[in-house]
Amino acid sequence: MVENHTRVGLLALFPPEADMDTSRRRLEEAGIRQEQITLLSPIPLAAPNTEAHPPFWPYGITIAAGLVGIGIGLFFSAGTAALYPLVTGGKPIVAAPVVGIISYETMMLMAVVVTFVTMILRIRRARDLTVEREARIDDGRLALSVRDIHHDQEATVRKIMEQAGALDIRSVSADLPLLEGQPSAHVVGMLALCCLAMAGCSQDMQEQQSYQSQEAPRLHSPSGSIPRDSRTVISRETLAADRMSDRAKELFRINCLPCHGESGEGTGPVAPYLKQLPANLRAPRVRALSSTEIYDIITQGKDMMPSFLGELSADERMVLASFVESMKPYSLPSQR
Amino acid sequence: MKQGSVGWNDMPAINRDLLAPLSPGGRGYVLLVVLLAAIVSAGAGAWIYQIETGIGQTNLHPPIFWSAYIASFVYWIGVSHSGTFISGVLRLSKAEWRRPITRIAELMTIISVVIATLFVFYHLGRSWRWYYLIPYPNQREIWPDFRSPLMWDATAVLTYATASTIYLYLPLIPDFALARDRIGGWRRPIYAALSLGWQGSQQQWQALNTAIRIITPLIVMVMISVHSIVGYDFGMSLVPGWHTSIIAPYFVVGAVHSGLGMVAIGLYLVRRTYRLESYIRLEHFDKLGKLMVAMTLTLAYFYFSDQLTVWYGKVPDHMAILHSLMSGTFAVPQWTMITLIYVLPLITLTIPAFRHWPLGMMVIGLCINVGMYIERMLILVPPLAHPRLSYNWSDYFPSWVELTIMAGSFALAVLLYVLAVKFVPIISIWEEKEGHLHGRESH
Ligand code: HEC
Repeated sequence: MVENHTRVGLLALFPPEADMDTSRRRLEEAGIRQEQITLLSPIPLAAPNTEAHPPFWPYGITIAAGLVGIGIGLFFSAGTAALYPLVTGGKPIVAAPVVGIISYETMMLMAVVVTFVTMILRIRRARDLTVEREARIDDGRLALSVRDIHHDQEATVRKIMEQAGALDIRSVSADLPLLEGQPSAHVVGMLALCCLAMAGCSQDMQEQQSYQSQEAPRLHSPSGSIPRDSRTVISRETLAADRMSDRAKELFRINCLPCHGESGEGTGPVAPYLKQLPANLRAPRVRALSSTEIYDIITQGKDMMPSFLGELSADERMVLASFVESMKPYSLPSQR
Repeated sequence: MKQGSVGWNDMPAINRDLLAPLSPGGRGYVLLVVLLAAIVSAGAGAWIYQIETGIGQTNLHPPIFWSAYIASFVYWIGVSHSGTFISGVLRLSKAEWRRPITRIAELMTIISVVIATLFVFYHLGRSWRWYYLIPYPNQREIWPDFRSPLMWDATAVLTYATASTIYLYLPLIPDFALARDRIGGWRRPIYAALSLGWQGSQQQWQALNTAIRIITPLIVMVMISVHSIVGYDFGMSLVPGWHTSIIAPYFVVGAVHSGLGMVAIGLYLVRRTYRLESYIRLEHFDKLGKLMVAMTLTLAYFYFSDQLTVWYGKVPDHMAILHSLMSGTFAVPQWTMITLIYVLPLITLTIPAFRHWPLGMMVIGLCINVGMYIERMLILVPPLAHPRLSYNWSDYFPSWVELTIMAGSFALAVLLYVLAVKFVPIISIWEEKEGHLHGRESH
C-alpha cells in the first residue's frame, strides 16, 4: 500500500436528471476502468424486471440449496427411522407423504436462507470501502464515485464530472477505515458452534449425580435415612402405611407401569420398543436394593430410565421407592 | 436512462414524513405501552400459575383435549398470513398499490407468528420439555415421530418464521441505512449494523432486487403450506367434522380472510396516528376492500360445500355436530360468527362508497377478526365435544387462566407492534419513492 498517497478517489453529487450514461462513457474514454466507477442512488435505477437476461447463477444457488434441503428433510424424516427403529402395528414406519411434507418444508427453509445469505454476502462485497455513504442521495440525488485514480487523472475526471453537472465534488482518501458497528462473522460462527455442541448434550446434566473438584465422592445415602428436601417429615410408620395405598399404586401406574409393567417384571407396553429392557423389579438384584437406593434411582434415573426429579415431588418418589421395595415377595422391614 | 426530476423532488418530503413516526412517542404513547405491559404481565402471571399448579388449570377434560390455546394458535398463524399474502402475492402480481401497505402487514406477520408459537408452549403440559420436539441425538434415545402432523407443524412454523423474518428484513436494508444517516442516539449503531454497510450502489440494488425476486414466490408457497399443515393437524384425524379433504384450503383462505381484516385495522390506525393520509390513500382501502370481498366469497363457498356435503350425507356422527352448531349448544356463537365473517363484510364491502370509508373498513376488519376467532373455537370444540360414543359428550368454556393468558398474548402482540413502529419505518421508504417515480413517469 505504498502507492496509496499517489492515488485518490473522487465523489460527486448530481441532480437526478444528470445523464450518467454519457459521463460513464466519457470516463471510460479517459482511461478509467468500469470497476473503479460506482453509481449510488436512492432507488434502484434499472426498473425491476427490465434486464434482458438476468443472470442464472442466483437461481442456481437457490435451486442447489433447495436440493440440499430435500436431503436434510429425507434424513430427518426417513433416515433417522433407520437409526432409531420403531415398529408399530406391523405398518411401515416411513410414510411417503410425511417424507414429502417434511422435505418440502426443509427445502423451502434452505432455499430461502441460503439465498438470503448469498445476497448479504453480495451486498457486503459490493461495498466501496473508499467511499463513505453519501447521505444526501436520499433526498433525490445521484452520486458517482470514482476511486483509485492517479493524481494526473484527477483533473480530467473532475472536469468530466463538472461538465455532467455535478453539484459538489469532494476527494476521498483511499484508505478510510471500515464502517463501524459490524459484528464479526467469527463471533457469530463460534456462538453457533457452541449452541450446536450444547444441543447434543443432555439438558439434564445438571440434575445428574456429580461432585465438585476437591469434594469427596458422595456415597449413597445410608439406608434408613429420610430425604431432606422434602417439606414434610415422613416417618417410617406412615411410609409403611402408604406402601400399599391407592396413592402408591396410582403413582406407579402412571409413571412406571409403561416400562416396568403392572407387576413390575419389566414387561410394560413400551418395553419392546426400548433399546435396553427395563429391569425386573422382582429380580434378586433389585430386591437387594434398599428403599433409599431405589429413591436415588427414581430421582437420578439410570441409563435408559429417565430421571423423575422434575416430575415427582420428594414425597411421591419416597412413596414409590417404598412401594417398589415392598414388591419383594418376602417383605422384610428394611435391612438393618 | 430516462429521468425527469418529477418524483425525485418529493424525496425530502417522503423522508421527513415516513421517518417522523420513529421519533420518541408522547405521553399517550407511554401510557399505552404501560397499559399493554400491565395486561401482558397479567397473562404472564397466569402462565406461571398454570406451570406451577399444572395444566389442570385449563378447562380441558376428556374428551375435549384441545381448545382455547390451540384455537388461538390457529388464529394467530392465520393472522400472520396478512403480511405474506399482501406483500407476497401483490409483489408477485406487481400491484402498485401494495407499496405503502407491505411493511405494515409484514410486521404483523412476524409478531403474530411469535404469538402463535407462544400458544404452543402454553398448551404443553410440561413446557420445559419442549426440546423433545427437536431431532438431535440424545441420551433418551428417542426420536420425534415425524408421522405426527404436530411435527409437520413444528417444521413448517420454523420455516415460516425464518422465511418471513428474512422477507421483512430484505426490503428494510436500504431503509435502515437511511435511518442510520438521519437518526442519532442509541439506535444509530443498531441501524448501522442492520444496514450491512448499505451504500446504494447499483450492484447492491441489483443483489437486493434479485433476492426479493427469488424469495417472493418461495414465501407465498411456504405461506400456503403452513396453514395447510395447520389444517392437517385436524384433517388427518378421524374426528367427524375435522376429517374432510377441504380443510387445508379452507384454513388457508380463512387465514387470509382474518389477515386482510387485520391489515385494514392496521392501515387505519397507522394512518390516523401518524397522519399518513397522503401515503395511505382511500384508493388503498378500496383495493383492500375488493380483495376482502373476494376472500369472503371464497371462504363462504368452501364452508357451504363442506357443510352441504355433511348435511346431505346424514351420517349420524357428523349430523350431531352440525345440529349442535345450527340449533344446539353452539348455535349462538355459530350464528354470530356467520354474521361477522360472511354477512356483514358482504353487505358493506360491496358498496364502493363504504370501501372509501377508512373507519368503516377498520370496523369490518375488527368484525372479521372477532368472527374468525370464534370460528377457530368452533372448529375445535364442537367436534371434540361430540365423540362417536355419545355417553362421552361434553361441553367447554375457557377457564379464567386460559382467558387471562389469551388476553395477555393479545396485548403482547399489540405491544410488540407499538414498539416496533418506533424502530422500523412503517412504510417502506425506498419502495414508496420508487412508486412515486414510476407512477409519474409511466402515466
Ligand atoms: C422409560 C422407561 C422406564 C420408566 C418410565 C421407568 N423405568 Fe425403571 N428402569 C428402566 C430401565 C430401562 C431400567 C434398567 C436400567 C439399568 O439396568 O441400567 C430400569 C431400572 C429400574 C430399577 C432398577 C435399577 C437397577 O439398579 O437395576 C428400579 C428400582 C426402577 N427402574 C424403578 C422405577 C420406578 C419406581 C419407576 C417409576 C417412577 C420407573 N422405574 C420408571 C426403564 C424405566
